[in-house]
Amino acid sequence: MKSRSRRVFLRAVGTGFAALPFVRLAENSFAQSMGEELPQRFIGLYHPHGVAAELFAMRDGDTETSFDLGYEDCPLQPFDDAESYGQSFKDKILVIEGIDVLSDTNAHNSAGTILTGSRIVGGNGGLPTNSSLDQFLAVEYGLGNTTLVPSVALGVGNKTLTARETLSFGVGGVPITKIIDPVLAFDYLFKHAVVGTEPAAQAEAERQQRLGKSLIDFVNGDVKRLRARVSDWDVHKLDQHLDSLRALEKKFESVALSSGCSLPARPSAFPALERYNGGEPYFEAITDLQIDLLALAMGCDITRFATLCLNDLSYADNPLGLPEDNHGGMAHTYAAGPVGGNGSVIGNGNPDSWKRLARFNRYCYGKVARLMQRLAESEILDGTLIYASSEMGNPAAHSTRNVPTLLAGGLNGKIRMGRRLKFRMDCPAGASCDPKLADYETMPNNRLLVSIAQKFGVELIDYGNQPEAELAAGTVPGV
Amino acid sequence: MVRELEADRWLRAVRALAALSCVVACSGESQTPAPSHLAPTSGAGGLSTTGGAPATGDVSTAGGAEAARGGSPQSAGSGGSAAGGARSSNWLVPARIRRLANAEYDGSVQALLSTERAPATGPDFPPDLRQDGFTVSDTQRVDAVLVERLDEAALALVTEARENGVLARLSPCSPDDDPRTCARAFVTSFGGRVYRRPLSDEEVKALLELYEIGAEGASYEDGVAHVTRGLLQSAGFLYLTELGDGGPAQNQIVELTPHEIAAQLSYYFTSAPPDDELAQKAAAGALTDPEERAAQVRRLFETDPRARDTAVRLVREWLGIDRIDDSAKDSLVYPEFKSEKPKIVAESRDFVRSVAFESTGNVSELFDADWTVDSGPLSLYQVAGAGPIAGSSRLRDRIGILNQAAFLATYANAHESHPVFRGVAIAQRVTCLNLDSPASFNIQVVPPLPDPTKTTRELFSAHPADEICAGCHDIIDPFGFSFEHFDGMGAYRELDNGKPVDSRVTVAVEQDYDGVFADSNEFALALAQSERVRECFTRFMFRAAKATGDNAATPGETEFMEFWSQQQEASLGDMLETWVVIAKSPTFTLREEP
Repeated sequence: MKSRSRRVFLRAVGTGFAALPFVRLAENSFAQSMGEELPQRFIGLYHPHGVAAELFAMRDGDTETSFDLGYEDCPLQPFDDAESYGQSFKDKILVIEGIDVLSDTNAHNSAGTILTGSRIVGGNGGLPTNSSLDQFLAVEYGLGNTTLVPSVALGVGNKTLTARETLSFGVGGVPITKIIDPVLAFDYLFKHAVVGTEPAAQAEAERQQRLGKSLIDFVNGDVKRLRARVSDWDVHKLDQHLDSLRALEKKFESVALSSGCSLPARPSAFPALERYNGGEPYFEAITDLQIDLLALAMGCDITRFATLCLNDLSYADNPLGLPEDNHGGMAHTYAAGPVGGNGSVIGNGNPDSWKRLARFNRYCYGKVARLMQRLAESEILDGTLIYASSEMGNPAAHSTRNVPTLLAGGLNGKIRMGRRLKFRMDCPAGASCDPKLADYETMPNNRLLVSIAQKFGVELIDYGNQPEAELAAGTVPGV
Repeated sequence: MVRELEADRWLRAVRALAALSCVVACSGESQTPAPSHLAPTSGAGGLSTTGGAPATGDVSTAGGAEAARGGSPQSAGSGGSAAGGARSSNWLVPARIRRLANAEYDGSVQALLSTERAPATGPDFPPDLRQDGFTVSDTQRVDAVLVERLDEAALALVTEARENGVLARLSPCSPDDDPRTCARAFVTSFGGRVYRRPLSDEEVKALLELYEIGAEGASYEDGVAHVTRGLLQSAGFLYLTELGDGGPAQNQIVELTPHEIAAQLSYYFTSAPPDDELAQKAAAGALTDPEERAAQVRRLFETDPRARDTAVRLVREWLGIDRIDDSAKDSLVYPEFKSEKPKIVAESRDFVRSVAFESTGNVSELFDADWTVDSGPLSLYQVAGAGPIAGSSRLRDRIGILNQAAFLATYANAHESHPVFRGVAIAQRVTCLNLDSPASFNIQVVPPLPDPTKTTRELFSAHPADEICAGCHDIIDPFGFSFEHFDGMGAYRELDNGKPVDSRVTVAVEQDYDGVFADSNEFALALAQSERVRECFTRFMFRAAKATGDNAATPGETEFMEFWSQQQEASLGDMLETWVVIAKSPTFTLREEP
């Protein structure tokens, strides 16, 4: 396939299942790519509050392929901690410094840019204008069609659908619902695959299947009757509805689970789930469960595309020893030195504030390591690509520059792991560091999205929506 | 380089237009928890000059207008944003569909099945996708997760309706009757209520097929239950239509059907489907008469508690104070917040309800009441005895809704007050001043670092030194600083970081509330008397009714404001009459052919 811009590609493909030639093409290229390889899977992961760059950045003596993660306060320690996570993942990560998430919204809404590469349009209530990479690959490009669930968006503690804490967006930048309750996540991923072995249970399951399918048929027909009456503007709403019904319909079809896959037990409900409503003390346990369910779903090949939005631990006496208000007491009080300043340096900074934030970073990377451990247990880690990032670099400055960027897994060797890349310091020593002058060259994460899409067999030349086309185009050298 | 050029361009633009547009914030963190993006105000003078819809009352001139509905939603990455994109700037909202908001879904199933369940506003449903702060919006979708939640909810509702006999009452069938005949009667009657209109033959047929599948090898009741489960997730139920009858449009103008008008009225004013009287009026074709619509709205506010609940929701979403429901404070800084929060939430509802329906009913009183409801967080306030209405208390330390804890705590950080959040909310939501985001000027907002030697005002005072920032902060900061006697959870304070609070401000924004004010209480009194504020309330209520959430002017806003200004009581701030005027306005029943 010739290289083309994503926009042109979409125009050619359309956005739904009507694009049969391309879907077939996708399937073919997918089948080719299989060979002896593992199926390719993608997980996008968001962790809040930026990064303690002073403790995260490459240190003197580190090279691209030789670096130390074991020093005190290193946020990346979990990737070299076999005792806690079963093995060292040092050779399965690629850490990139110098990536900018160009959201144009002063970082608070930048989570919405991580997988869309889109400016956030409409201020604080704003949204991106195009779909996220997971949805693009799974739904629009059709790579999710081979599994029971094309894609899933999970979260912890916060189900709001603003750009502030959402990674997955459908066509036109419409947020995709995040599931924050592990019980609902279990139901969404596994319920239809769980059938008792007794004849009565199977007969009941068959009846429920028949009823369920008849409901879908009816609603499908009803949506189509309405679709015939609406304008083009509203057709896409109903097409999404139809796609969703089709996704549910698949679950009523017989499911052959991959061999060696054992389904988990349905989790029991948590006393509280939501932020600001008593859920905070359960966030870590919820996170672990979401990770385990996700890894199992991937291991059972129920889905291959997912996103997960982590949360902080804003409650009194949290296990990280962080101030109760993580946002105010950890992110806003981070006093950067020259390394992490992103242009907002006031003196040499406060190392205590770096350590505080690094502790939280380490907690989040520990969750990534847990995910890798679970995927490794299912022997699918090497075929998976995890892309973990945050909405900011320096959180006190709410800087969208130099955001922490981690790729993990490997995608069957398509992305060489065990490396650290560094594009530039955001505020080089001696340079004018006034962010308003914007006199740095930028490495927008759009290019990372293009690089990843290409590794999934989609020959795009740009991804996302930036005011200057070149910001959305190109790849990240070395990825 | 690109960004530099962009910044350059904006810098020039800002200097040239210093008086016309302004930046939200610079070193004062623009990210208000509020949806800061304001639909540009149209007309009405003042700072705003953008976004006004062309004033045309002439129906025929609108006929040639192009349906400029923004980028094609099919071309992801190039427009068609969920926020609505750039829609028509004409005077009618396009003919369209919109999915019920969560509160509307709940109101609907409660009305249909006499249940108290509220599945959509419960924990399992995804939240509403808001537009411009309002939960009722035309961007709501049904995605793969919601499809399953809808079916789960339908199943639970049907199960309950079988157990409590509601379904049996709705679908009577004696042993002598042919169950299929009963099923047809049920489908026609109940189905019509679910769809808010008579069903087509095709729809009846599809539902009867559903009945047959449900009843096969089972009972009549099983069949009816299956139909109900289908109805509750049907397109006819989930999407409100504003499409007309599909007949040829005159000058591209679509007239809503009588049933659609009834649904517009009932959902905007009660968040629920038409009641019997509205349905009858619709069937009789009476709702095309503006006076009849006005009478119906008055009746609903008089007799239907759901109308009052809905009014409260509209006002809370207008001011953004409904977000107090999902907020928290640092308990080391504000240890009382957790226990006071239920009262703060209660006050944000009950005070609005009391002003609207038990006191003057005037928007001015929202801002200048020297009392509050007893359900509020009185232990945070200085109480001065009984208030003017039952269950209220007079207050010594604060005046009006902007000085109540819900507003003050919503527009604050977890550990400190936030003059910029508060100031931006006043500018955008209360007085409809048009502010652009700093991002549009390529300004990177740098929040001030904590400094225990300074007051919050001193911390936030640094940024107007910057030329670009000052353009806006000269407006925002006086609004926000006036509230500095109230801390991040809304309690009164004399000292901030050990230093005396300075809340004295000069407001000079060329509006009718300009003046020198000792604090936010004095400022609130000026806002209460402001025509600009009454207008702003009206604009937001109009936008909420249109549910376009458009960041450009809502179609028809200019014409509507003119219409409203001619209605004496409404234009003097009577909230009920303003809502009546919305129902009466000529465009209430009209849409534009897309």
